[in-house]
This record gives sequence, structure tokens and C-alpha cells, in this order.
Amino acid sequence: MTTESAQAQSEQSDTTDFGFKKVNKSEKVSMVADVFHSVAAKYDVMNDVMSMGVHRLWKRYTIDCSGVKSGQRVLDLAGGTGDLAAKFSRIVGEKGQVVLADINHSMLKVGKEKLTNMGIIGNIDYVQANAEELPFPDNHFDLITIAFGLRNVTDKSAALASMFRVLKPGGRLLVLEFSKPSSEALSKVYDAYSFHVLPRMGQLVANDAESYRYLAESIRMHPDQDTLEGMMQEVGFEQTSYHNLTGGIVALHRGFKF
Amino acid sequence: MPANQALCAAIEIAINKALAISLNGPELIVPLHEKRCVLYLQELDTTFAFQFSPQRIDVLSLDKVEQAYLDDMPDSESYISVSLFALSELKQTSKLTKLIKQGKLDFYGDLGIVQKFSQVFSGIEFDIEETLSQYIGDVPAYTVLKQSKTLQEQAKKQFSLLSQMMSDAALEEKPIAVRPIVLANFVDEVRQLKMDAERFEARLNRIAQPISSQEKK
Repeated sequence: MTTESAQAQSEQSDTTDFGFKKVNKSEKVSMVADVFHSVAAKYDVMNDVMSMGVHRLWKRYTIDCSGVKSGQRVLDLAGGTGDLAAKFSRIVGEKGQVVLADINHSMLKVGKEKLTNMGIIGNIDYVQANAEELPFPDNHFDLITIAFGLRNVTDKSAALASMFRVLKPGGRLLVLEFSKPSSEALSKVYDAYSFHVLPRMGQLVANDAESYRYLAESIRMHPDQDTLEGMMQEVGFEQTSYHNLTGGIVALHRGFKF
Repeated sequence: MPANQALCAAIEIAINKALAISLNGPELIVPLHEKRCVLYLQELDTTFAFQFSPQRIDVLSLDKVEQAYLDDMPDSESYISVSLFALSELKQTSKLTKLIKQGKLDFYGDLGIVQKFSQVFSGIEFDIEETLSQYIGDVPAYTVLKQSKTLQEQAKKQFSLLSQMMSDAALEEKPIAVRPIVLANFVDEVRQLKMDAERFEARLNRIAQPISSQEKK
């Protein structure tokens, strides 16, 4: 079964994937929440260790592609510990606004503490929100980013539609997410790393191998580049495109609302 | 790997570290608060944006800026297109107009932003001894700095000596034609040889004369 058809079937039925497991849709939210409650405290350290710091460059690339300017309104969805929000806050300045939203309270708490310690206050709000039902008015944001968050969402199409609704006409959505490596050789190395090295690293650094096994599995179950681009188009995004980073291990999808 | 982003990260870390340890970094960036300076490097075909906030400078890598963007540029931004080789001259604010006239620098937006941006680099001051003392202590910092100053002076002296020698060597006249004294000596030697040959001829004639007179008899 292809990822695309699995995705389509999953979204029509009552079950969904949680890594390689099939679970009830209503259960997934709490199961994902448990994963992130568990890793929140060591999230930044683990990101650096797992990606050897490259995640910072992927996020930088996302910010560089955002085209965001002073005075604009930005939603950093599934913003976790606020890596993107910190920079957006400085770019939009006092007249602009950044909303750091995450469904997980623990992640939001870590993010808030981190940004406050960095002196980032005044133009940033913290909102606990489900991406599928965003608690914001229509046509509200100039930019929405979701970095390494979409694959954890139960109903991805509903989340994309919700993002489309709250985006202003002329606004853009950037989805930074793990994707499918473009080369077969890289894919094999990446698989070996994800399924053998990553859980051990998780055990060693965060004392939690299971969460990092879920991370590897959820990446494999996430729609590939073309499927995700199609999903964006289906909910109304225009001029969609994607850019592979590090051989397709990660891809940045871009779409506009007109 | 996104190379431009890696370069931006390196530049950003270097600038912010320098601002943090400088004596006047925060004061220098206060007038640039919420301003953005976009810098296009012609030879590299790369655009960087320097975004100023009270805490730090963020460096972004942008796509090539379109004319439409320049036409609608907000007051808080400025754009400069400059040759990599003229980059060091940007430090001198007085040279900006000259560079524009020479066509080495293309400019859009508020010139004040570029001038203040330039002042950040030209006006930044450091107290190296004070900074170093935080890591290794007062006395070692003083000693290290004193020795490095002595070393620097000696190196400067040696360098100037070396430069002088190189310059002398370069300017020294090389004998590519025969010098006059060598020519005079050569002429003398030829003259001497001629005289020796004449004397030899005369001697031969004197020896040959009695022999020829005996043969006639």
C-alpha cells in the first residue's frame, strides 16, 4: 500500500497511524501528547544530538523563505520550544505579533520559559491549540509555519484546511517536515540510523527509547513530498512547491492563499 | 546541506559575539532598532539581510531581490548591491557617496540605515584585557596582552625591515648592459694585446733579418 493511499484510507476510517501501529483517532492525540510530555525537557538537546545540529539550518532555511516583514502577524504552529518564534519575534518587531501555538502544554511551557529567558517578550503570545481547529479568526495571519509538527496531527487535511482559513489572502504557509530521501542509498543509511541509532540515543540522552522509536516510525508514515503538496492543493493552497533539504530527509513545502 | 544558511549562522554568531564582548555594541545598534539592511554581493550573487533588534543582529539569506520589491521598499529597510572587493570600504561612511559615484555600490532606501550599519563595524570598541580576564584571570590576561603587544611590535618591526629589504631588492639596478669601467678595462686589455703583438712582430723581424741576409750572400 502506498503512503498516499494509506493516508487517504486512514483519514476516512476511525483509525489512524501512531507510528507503525493502528490506533483509534481519539486515542492518537493523547498518545502523541504523552510522547511530547516525555521528551519536552530534553527536546532541544535531543534535536541537536539527533540531527548533529543540522535542524538549525533547516529552520533557518524556513525563516529565510518566509518573506516575513516588520509589523506582520505570524503563527508558529506546533512551535514547540520556539526556535522559529524567537527569530520571527525579532523580525516582526513591536508592531507585529507572533503566536506560538502547540497542542502540548509541556512543550509550550518549555518554549515560553526559553523565550522569556532570551528576553523575547511583548509581541509574542502562547496558545495551546489543536491544529485541526485553530482558535483564531478567519484571514488573520500573514504567515503560518509548522515545523516538524504536521506528522503528529491526526487529521492532516483538516489541519491544513484550518490553516488555510486563518491565513490572510496573500499569506503563505510553510510546512517543514521529515520526508522521503530522494536517493535509495541515502534511504538505506537513513533507515539504519532511524531504527537502530535513534532509539539508543533517546535512551541514552532522554532515557526514553520508545518516544524516539515513535519518531522514526511516524516519519515513515508521513506523506511523501508529492502527496503532501497534493493535500495542500486540495484544501485551496495555490502556487504550491517544495524544496528538499539534505537529500529529501526533510522537505519544506510552500503554499499561498490568494 | 543549506550552505547559505550555514554561512549566515557563522556570520550571525561572529557578529553577535563581537557585540556582546564589545564596550559599545548595544549602543551602536540602538539607532538601527527594527531596521533591515539588505546586502547583495555581486560576485557571489548572494543576498543577505541584517535585521536589527535591541538584543542582537539576525542574518538572513534571501532570494535575489526583484525590482518590484525595491520600488515598494518600506522606510525601515535599505538595499545595497556591492562588489565583494569594495566591501571593506563600506566601513568608512565617508566613502559611501564616492562608491555610489564610482558605480561600485547600488543603493535603494534610507542611506541613514547604511551609514549607521557601517558605523557598527567602524565604531565597535573592545577591551580585550577585560574580556580575557573573565576567562583566565587578571594577572594572566595582563601578561598575555603585554607579551602579545611586544610580539606584535617585534613582528611589525621585522615586517617593516623585510618590506624595506624587498623594496630595495626590487628597486636595485640590475647590470643588464656592460658597465663603462668594464668597457674601459676591456679596451685597455685590447690595447695591451696589440702592443704585445707589435713587439712580438718586431722581435721576429729582428731574428729573421740576419738569416735572410746570409741567404742572399
